[in-house]
Amino acid sequence: MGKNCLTILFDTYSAAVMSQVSPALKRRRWCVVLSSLFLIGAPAVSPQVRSSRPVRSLQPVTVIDLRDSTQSETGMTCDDIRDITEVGTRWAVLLDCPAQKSALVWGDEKSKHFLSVDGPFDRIAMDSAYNLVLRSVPAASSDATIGLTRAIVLDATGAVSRRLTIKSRGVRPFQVAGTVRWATQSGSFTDAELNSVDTAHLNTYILTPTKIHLNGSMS
Amino acid sequence: MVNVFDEQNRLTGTRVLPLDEAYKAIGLPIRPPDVQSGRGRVLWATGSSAGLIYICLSDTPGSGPGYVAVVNAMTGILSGVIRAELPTATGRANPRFNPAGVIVPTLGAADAHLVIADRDMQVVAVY
Repeated sequence: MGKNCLTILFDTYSAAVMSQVSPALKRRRWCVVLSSLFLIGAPAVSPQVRSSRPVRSLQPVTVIDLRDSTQSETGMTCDDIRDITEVGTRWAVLLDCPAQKSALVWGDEKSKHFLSVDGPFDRIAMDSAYNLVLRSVPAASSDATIGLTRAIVLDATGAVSRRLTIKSRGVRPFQVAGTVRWATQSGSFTDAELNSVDTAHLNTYILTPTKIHLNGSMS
Repeated sequence: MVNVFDEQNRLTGTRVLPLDEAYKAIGLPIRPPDVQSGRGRVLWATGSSAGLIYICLSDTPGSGPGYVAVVNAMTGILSGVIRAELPTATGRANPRFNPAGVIVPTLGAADAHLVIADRDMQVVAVY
């Protein structure tokens, strides 16, 4: 009596499977063949495994073109944005403008405020009370050669509340968790410089006082 | 690299930022920085009060979107990558490489929102 189709199919399949296994496993023909059936349909393992970390898409909720709005609000045509910062929902932008001037724009989801300040400044930071710290451009004076960094503090209304002189070369203000501190590096960040950037951030993340905190001596 | 300091500025730990993992998550090739050509892998980095470090990846297509890796500052673990759709500015339009004129995310800040700005175009996007 001839074999039926299923028997022929099984014999063919099991012969193909058994040709791929070691002699020790050939004695367990049924186990091997049945196990192989569970592997059919399993995804092939690629050496280029894509990371499972989530990628989240975000659309801007607000887009602000400061070129025209700063001109209409302050009367100055500014060259570029020097620095930006954010605490909570409040952001602030520092712009470089002609004639040793800087423009300051801050706002939140509801409003925007513009201010012209005598400068120039190149860095901005904000604390949890929304005080703004602006660092003077070191090259604008002889301070850089003698290791002085000057800055001003504006309160939440934009009025100058303090003037600072810090005895340390190349410091820049930054803030995380609403605390302004100073880091001894500047410029754009590269892989190598991330070390000091993150160091700075971690310092302020651990420390969460709500006052302006200076890491350096003041005079 | 991330150095972790305590309140007295004492080093308490060092971790490697998972930039390779961030590039892999968005399906882009992992290329080391090329100092000679000026090609880096990070445009800017900033921190938030939630203890997250936001790192804008630079080795991405010039016509956008912007990609920002989010790393837990205390653990050094990549928590995700933000794919930020960028607005346009006429000054950025380039028929060959950037026909829509997508802005370049040259500056960033983060806390309750992510803020991305194009320094030269003076455009700010709040997410």
